[in-house]
This record gives sequence, structure tokens and C-alpha cells, in this order.
Amino acid sequence: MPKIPSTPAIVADFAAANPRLLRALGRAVALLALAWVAADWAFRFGYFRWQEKWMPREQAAATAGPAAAAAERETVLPGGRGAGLTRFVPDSLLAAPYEEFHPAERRIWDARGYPNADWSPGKAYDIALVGDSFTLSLGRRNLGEAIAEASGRALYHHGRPATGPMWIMGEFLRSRPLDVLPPVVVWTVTARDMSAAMFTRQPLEAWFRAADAPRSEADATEAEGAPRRAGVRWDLLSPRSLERDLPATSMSALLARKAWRAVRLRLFGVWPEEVLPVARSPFGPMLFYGENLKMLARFSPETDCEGVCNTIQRLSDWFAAKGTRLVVVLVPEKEQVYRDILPPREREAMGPGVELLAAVAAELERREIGVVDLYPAFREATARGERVYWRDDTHWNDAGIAIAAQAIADRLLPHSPPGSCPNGATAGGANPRKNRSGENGNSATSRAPRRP
Amino acid sequence: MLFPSFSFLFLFLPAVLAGYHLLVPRRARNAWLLCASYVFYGWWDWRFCGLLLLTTSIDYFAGKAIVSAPSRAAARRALSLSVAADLSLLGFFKYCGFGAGTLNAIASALGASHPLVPVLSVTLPVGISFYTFQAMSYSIDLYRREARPARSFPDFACYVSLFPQLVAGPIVRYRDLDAQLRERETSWAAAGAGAALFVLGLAKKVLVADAVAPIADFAFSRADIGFAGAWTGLAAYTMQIYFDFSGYSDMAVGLGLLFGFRFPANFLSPYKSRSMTEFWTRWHISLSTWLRDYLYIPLGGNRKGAARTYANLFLTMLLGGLWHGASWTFVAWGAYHGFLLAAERMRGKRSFFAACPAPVQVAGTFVLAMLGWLLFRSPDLAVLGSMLRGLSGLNGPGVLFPAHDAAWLHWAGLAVAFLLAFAAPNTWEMRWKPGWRTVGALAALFLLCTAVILVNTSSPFLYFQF
Repeated sequence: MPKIPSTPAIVADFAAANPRLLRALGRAVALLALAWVAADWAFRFGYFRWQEKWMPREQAAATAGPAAAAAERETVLPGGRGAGLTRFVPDSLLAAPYEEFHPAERRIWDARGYPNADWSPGKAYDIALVGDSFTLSLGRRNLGEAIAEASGRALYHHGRPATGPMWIMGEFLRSRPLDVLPPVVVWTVTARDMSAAMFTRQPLEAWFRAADAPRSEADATEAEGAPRRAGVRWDLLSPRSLERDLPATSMSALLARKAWRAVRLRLFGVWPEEVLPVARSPFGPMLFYGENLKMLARFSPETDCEGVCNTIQRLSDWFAAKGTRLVVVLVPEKEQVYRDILPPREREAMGPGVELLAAVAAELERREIGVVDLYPAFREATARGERVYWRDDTHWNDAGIAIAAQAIADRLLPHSPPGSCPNGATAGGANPRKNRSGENGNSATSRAPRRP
Repeated sequence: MLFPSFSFLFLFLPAVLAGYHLLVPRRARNAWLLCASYVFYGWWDWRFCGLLLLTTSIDYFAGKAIVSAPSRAAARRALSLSVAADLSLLGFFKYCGFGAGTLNAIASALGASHPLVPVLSVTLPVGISFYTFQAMSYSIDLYRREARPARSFPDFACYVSLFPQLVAGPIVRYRDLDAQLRERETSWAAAGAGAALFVLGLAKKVLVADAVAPIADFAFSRADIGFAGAWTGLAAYTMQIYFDFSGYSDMAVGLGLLFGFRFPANFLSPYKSRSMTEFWTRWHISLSTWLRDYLYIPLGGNRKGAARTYANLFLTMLLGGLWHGASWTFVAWGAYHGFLLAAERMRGKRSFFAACPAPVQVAGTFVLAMLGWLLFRSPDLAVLGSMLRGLSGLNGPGVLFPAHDAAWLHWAGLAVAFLLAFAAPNTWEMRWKPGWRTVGALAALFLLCTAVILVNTSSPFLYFQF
């Protein structure tokens, strides 16, 4: 039977060592540890902007716009090869076949941090475009510019990346960027965000109240781009939030994940789970987004259609009461459009999530809410051999934007001719049924049968 | 909060260490540790702190009553009251659902049409079994006059809640910490040894236990598991539970040293044992000695004849099994070990394999321990049945956990686990001369562990459910 020692043997070893050496070692380790912890925390506030709305700096910079730094009205995004998905690939040689060239882009922001070069206080617009990164561009022209050109209307672009449809719509209503609501609000809703849980838990009533409240001086100050008052985000300090956010906003974790991804790819040939490579397809090499594949698999028409449509209905009714018509643009994910070239396992794993777009489009049409489902148009273009998404990114390319803009403009044209008054008295503004017969031939809204 | 988590390593521990050594005056150090421990425990759920405080109060005031009791009979009454209260709390939070479920199952087997008692859904407070046993030992030792009363309530509360060993042991008795709670020295030597042990424990948990876990999960999740898959899966679980739990104990001992505490040993290479009797002097030592001193010996131990000795051994292990969790598989695991210990006692504490050379004795004992873990790990009879069929070859050779791509890291982890368990000195035997090279090696190990933790986010300890 073993004799149970009272202390570990190394305690005696350390006690027998030279005390000056121990002190030096101890101080060195303590200082290094302190520096490490301090650096990690510094990055959390500086790079990830944890207390604002945490996200990596490049995203934050694109997201915040000049609202964070009022002086900065113009940003130049440098051009180059590679985009969102190739950034996940830790080996540049392996990433190279998927990379495309994206031209440099000069973005001019309005006072609120939205890309409206021609904005001036009190200006009236024909269309407001509300959406996330899909309304912006990695190519020559963004969706706002494309719709404005295709329709010949003045368009206010309320687009911001990494927000999601509900956040940006809430922001549009709460912040009231325009003195007068335009006759048409075009709202892009991406397929990966069509979750009933997300749509139904939004505080719509609070947004409506904020949008209806009388304008005050505070609004005017904010509109001029004054930075928001800083404060502690107490909700981010609960154990639950900290457990989730601290590793996610850690420089050490970021480096560790990068290192592990590189090791896995170079030693074992395992791609990062964020990307799914398809090396050969009729469209050449394509990268897909692992997160989208996971998200889409969670949705189904049975669980999500009703909740999503109910929320859209409430928003549409609110806009209609103001004489504004809401047009919902359903944006398919790259993974849905190129479903046929995905490996069989991933294709099957997406499950009924793919059918949700069609179900939502049909339900919105039934409820007589303006809807543009881009899936059929994109599938048609794909069948013609045209590529509508970037190889190296989750977003649509110039061809995709052109198709989307045309489909949206076609949908808008019968309703509000250029120069119509902004109070919503335009034909069909509040009653889409009037011109219904005129829309049925529209390629974007016709219900082409879907091939699995 | 878990030790291998970002919030512990980068927020809680640096803040508590800095406060302890740099900010707080010596007199207030116990109070500082007390506050830190309640934050640590409340991190799971702030309501748990109330329960911890209640258990602490019961034993503290029972202790006062025992010490000031006018007679032995009065002291005995106070002790009985506190033990009953402690066990009732433990029983309610841990065994309520299990008891009700069992009663209802019996009633329905006897023909009852609806449940006999309602089954409450009670959240199991983390580590309740550990700190309840720890607090109980205080009032029992006071009654036995083997400990002196605590200096103050905060001191005693600090002992019960001490965060390094609060949720998964080692179970420390008040009499072992009494002097340290009153006066303890911190030194660079002790802190250095503590940091080294913490890193070694962390590596055992993160690099070994977590690495082999998928092999075990694979075996225990497939109904058609074959011979090779079942045996490697069971071996993987055998290694997982050892490196997980002993790694946690090492971290606890290391953290204790950082604050000047000396905690007792909990594991001493248990898989090198030649008999089950020896196994239980090397495995979870703080629990087995607790059960010996507060259950087996009061039951009569070996002083009441051979038959009573076997019965006492069996009953102690049965209750020890139940302590691990409210489930019949834990009871079966306890009964299995109780049976083996009683059987070895009949042979004069000799190994079942005493006639064989030493390596065979070790291997035989290891297989017996593995079969015990089979009962321990199986959540229900269905899984137990499929594993038994797999182990006995009834499911054919079957498939193994895959070895392609990065999955071979898990197999490497299993090989390392076997080497460390059988052919290396354990963390209590290791000799290490401190120097820049040692520190460099430990720092590299710590970096690797942190990287793995951060990549995998958090991985809960197996032993937190007990």
C-alpha cells in the first residue's frame, strides 16, 4: 500500500532552490502574465470594441461609418484579391484559386454614417433602401446605385453591413433619417435571417412609438453627426454574457483559432469549418459559408414562415398607414442558389430551410404585401451559365446586383412614376392590388418551379 | 466558472491573486477569499450562494452548540440535528427527483394508475456533495473533540467555500486547515510549485482527458458498437475520468499553494494498483478516507467480526456510489466495488491475481476498474447492454473511432494517457528543479492548454455533476 505524502514532491524541490532565482523567476512570470492579460483586455476594448457592439475592427469601421468619428465623411476601401470567405483560409496558396479581384471603392457617408453622397438635410426621396451588407458592394456598383439607375428615382440608401434585417429596420424607424417618409421603402431580408424566433421577438411597438414621436433638438444634433454619449453596457457584464463574449473578443483566442486553422489545413488537410470549398463546378472554384449551411438547416416553412410573415405584415401595415409601401426583397443565400454543386451531404443537411423562401414569398403575396423573391431570377441566370455570386465571398457580384436591381425596379415601376409626391398618394402606394395585373408577367415575381 | 475557461484564467484568477497579494491587508485575506469564492460559486447561479451560506450556518452554529453543550447527550443532540439538516438539504437537491421517480416506478409496477408522488424539477447545485461533506466533518470532529472550534464565522465560511476545491474536491477537513486559516505563509517557492502543479493539472484535463473523450463518447453512443470499438471506448473513458478528475485535483492543490494552503493528496497513480483494496487507497483518497472515518468506522469497521466487516465495506461503497449521483447505475457501481473489496478482504486483502507476476496483477486490477467505469459511464440499461454485447464480441469486430485527418490526435492522446498512467511518475512524485528551462517548458505547456481551451471554448468537468 502506498504511503500518502502530505505535499507534492516539487514543493520541497522549490523550497530547496535558491530564493533569489525563485524571486526573479516569479517576478518575470507574474509580469509576463500581467502584460498578457492587460493586452488581451486592451484589444477587447480597442480592436473588438466590446462595450460598443463588439465586432472586429474592419467590420466595426465599415459599420460605424462617420457616426463614430464625425470628421470622417469619406472612406476608401482598398481594392485587391480575396474577400470574406478567403480570409478564413489560413493558407494563401490554397485560397488563391478562389480569389477574385475587387476594385477599390470610395464611400461617401452622410451625417448618420450611411452611403449617401448627395444627402442634404430635408431632401425628399422616392425610395428608401433598408438592408444589410447585401445593399453594399464588393464590385463596381452597390444595390442602391443600381436601383436608382434602373428605376430613375432618387434613392436614400440606409444600408449597413453585419446588421441583419431586423436591426437595420429598427434603426431606420428609431433614428428617422428622413424628414418625410418616401412613397416606397425597399427592405432586403436575407434567407439566413428568416427565423421566426428572431422576427417575433423584436420590439416593434417601441420602434413605432419612436418613429411617431415629435422631432426634438436632440434628433437634430444626432442628425448632424454628433457622437453618441458613451456609457457602460451593463447588460454585457452578466456572467452569461461574459462567458460568451470574453473568449469571442479575445486577441489570444483569435490568434489561437488562426494557428489551429493553419495547423489543421496544412497538416491534416481539413478546411476551417467556416468555409466549404468546391474546387470544380460549372462556375469554376467556389467557396461556401459553413455558418450559412448550419443556419439554413435550422429553418423550415412549418416553423418559421408564419412568424416571419406576421412581423412583416405589422411593419407593412404601419408603413401603409403612413402612405408608404413596403416592398420586401427576399435575398437567397449563395448556398441555396448553388445548391446543385454542393457535396451531397451538405445539400441534404440544409433540409427544408431552402423551401422557406418560396413559402414566405407565397404567403406575402397572399397577404398582398409587396415582395420580390430573387431566388427564381437567380436560378434562371444560373441555368444560363451566368455567375451571380462572388467565388470568394457570400455576397452577390455585379451581375447579381444588376439582376436584383432590375427585378426590384420592375416591381416598383408600375406604382410610383418619377417625381411623384412623397406623401404616399401615388397609384398603388397603399393598395398594391390596383396594379396587380400589371405585375404578373414580371420575371422576378413569377413563381418558377424550383428544382431541388 | 470552470478552471479551464477564459473568464477564470483571464479575469477571475488574476484579479483574486492581485487582490490577495498586493491590495488586501493580511488580516482581511480570509475575507477576500470568502468574497472571491462566493463570486466564483454565484457565477453559475447566484441562488446557489444562499444554499452554500445555509449549509455553512448550520454547521457553524451546530459547532457552537456542541462546544458549549452542558453534557455529551446535549452535544449529541446538536450534532444529530446538524447532520440531519445537512443530509436533508443534500437529499432534497440531489436525490428528490430520483427518489420520487423510483417510488412512482414501483407503484406503477404494482398497478397504480397515476404517479404516487409528484416529481419536482430541482436544479442540482454544483458541487453540493463536496461542500456538504466538508461542512459535516467540522461538527462531527468537534463532537469527537478532534478539532477546535473555528475562530469566527467568516473564517469558517471561507473554509467551506474555498474556491480552489469548492466544486470538485479534494474534500478537506476543517482540522487539517484550522491552523492554516489562522496563519499561513506565502512564498515564491510555494507559489512557484503551486503554479507548476496548476499547469500540470490543466494539461491533464485539457490535453489528455478532453483529447480521449470523443473516443469514449463514440463507443457509448452507438447501439451496434463492436468488440474493438467497445474496448477502446471503455479504455478511453477509464483514462478520461482519471485525467479529468486528478487534473482538477492538481489544479486545486496548485491554486491552494498560490494562496498559502496545503491540501491533501487525492490521487496517487491508481491504475498502478495490484488489488482493488490498493486501488481505493490511491483513487479519490479524500473521499475514501472521509467515508472510512465518518461512515465505515462508525458502522463498526472491522471490530465486530468478519461478517459485519464485509457488510460494512459493502454498505460504505454502496453509499459512496450513491454519493456520486442519483441514479441506479451509480448504486450498481458502488455495489460492484463493495463486492470486490469484501471479496478481497475475505482473501486477507490479497489481490485476486496474487499468484501472478506483478504486471499481470496490475493489468487484472485495471480491467476490474474498467468494468466498474462501464457501470459508472452508462446512463441507462440500454447503453450498458449494448456496451456489454460489444465488449463480449456479440456485435462482431465492429468499427473503431476514425483515425483519419485530425482525429488521430485523439488516438495520440490515448497513447499518451496510457504512458502517463502506467510508466510515468504522478504529479505528486515528480521532481523538478526550478530554473529558466522549467519555467519555459511550463509556460509553453500553459500556452498550448490556453490555445486549446480558447479554440474549443469551454468543456465542463465530468465531476461537477457529483
